[in-house]
Amino acid sequence: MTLLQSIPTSNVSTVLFFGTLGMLVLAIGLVVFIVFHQRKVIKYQQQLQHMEEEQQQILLNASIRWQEEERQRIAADLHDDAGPLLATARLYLNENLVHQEMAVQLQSIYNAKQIIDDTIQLIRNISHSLMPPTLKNFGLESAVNDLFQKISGSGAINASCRFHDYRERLLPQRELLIFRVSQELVNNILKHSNSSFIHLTQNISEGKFYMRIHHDGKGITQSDMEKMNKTSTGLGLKNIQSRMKVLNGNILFEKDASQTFFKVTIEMPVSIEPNA
Amino acid sequence: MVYLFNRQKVKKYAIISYYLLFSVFTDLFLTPTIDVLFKTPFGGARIFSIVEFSLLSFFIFRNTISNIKAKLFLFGSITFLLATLYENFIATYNNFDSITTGISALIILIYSIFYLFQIISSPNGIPKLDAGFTIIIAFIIYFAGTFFIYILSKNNFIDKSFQQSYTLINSSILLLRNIIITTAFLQSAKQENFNHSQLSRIKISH
Repeated sequence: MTLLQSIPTSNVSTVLFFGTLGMLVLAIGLVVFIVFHQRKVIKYQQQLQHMEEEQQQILLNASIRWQEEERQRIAADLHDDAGPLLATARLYLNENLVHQEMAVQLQSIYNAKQIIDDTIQLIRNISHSLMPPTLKNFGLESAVNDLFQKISGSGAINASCRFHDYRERLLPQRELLIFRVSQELVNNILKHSNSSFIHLTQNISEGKFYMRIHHDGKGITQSDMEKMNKTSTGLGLKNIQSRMKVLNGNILFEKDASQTFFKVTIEMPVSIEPNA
Repeated sequence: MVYLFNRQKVKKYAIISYYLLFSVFTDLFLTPTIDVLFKTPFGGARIFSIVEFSLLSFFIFRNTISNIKAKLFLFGSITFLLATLYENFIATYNNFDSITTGISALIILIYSIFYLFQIISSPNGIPKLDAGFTIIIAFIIYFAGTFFIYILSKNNFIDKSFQQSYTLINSSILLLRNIIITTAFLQSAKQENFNHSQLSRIKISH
């Protein structure tokens, strides 16, 4: 500052002109930078919001499609299986039955009873596929154990599961969602991975519920999952994601460090947050 | 004037209006009075420099949220105090207070850049460019534009051509600053009107 004050009088105008101009340019440059930065940030935020909305739309569509497919499956089960069975039972119990001989009448009633029993069983199966009774009555651990026993019992694959810490049951809706997610994951592994074993483990640590599935077949990683998210394929995986969103949890697909296994980890809070 | 007509809506920026009123008071009454009574041509300007620094520091301090702001503002205030003491008690008294105004301008510019940095690194994501931001911009332009003219005034104020440049630059920058501050007040009043109408709508819908 003292140096500036000792400038010869002849140079003062030049210093004043260029100094003031330079300072003003710097100040205006700073302002322009801030304004452009703000616009850039707003644009970025808008893009992010747009992408989030798109993702939500994809998940919503997947959920609607899944519901429609499920309805179609139930409708097909009822129409193709229960419908013909009940129609056959009706044939046995037609108006002419009263004019038949006693032996024929008894035989017809017996056949009709058999068919109605089959129909009851069929409807029970449909109902169980919608809400497994084991899950409702005995909880997630028993339902998953049951599922894995059935898979292992088929002899096609070695399936085992172990719950390390499940002393307190989660809320029924949450149990159903987790069960559906594990069912979908196991189904995908059975359908696409060609693996020789599936192993499921469960644990609770630091207020979080963890479930991990290992298999030695052909699996997917998180990057594959993200790629699939941007397309309309992978309906089952999108359903898993929407369920995980409801559970306020995360799902991670990865390859084991040994590069021989694939693992899928589900993570979610044990207790529900008030705003969740 | 804008402040007086929208006092309730822009009371957040009352300090700035006091500052503007004080600058008018200095030009119209303080400087001539001190000049006549104490025979010191720059006495009014010296008092104005101190009040200006204090009010603007307080305004930026109040609008800044940071853990280190107390340290920064303490350092700035001590530096300014030392410069003022030197200028008024050690250096020549009957002259333009270039050191005080120069140091004051630099410190306020540093505070303003600190404030802008805080706006950029806003945790909410989008930097908020409100009336406070516009006022800070007005002062950045004012201090950047008048920095050299004030620094060089101490030794060159007697020169006629310098006085012409001083008047030209000082008046233009002051005009620009006041226009930007008026815009900020209007912006704040408009925002307050909008907030008020939104609030009324919420109350009605309830």
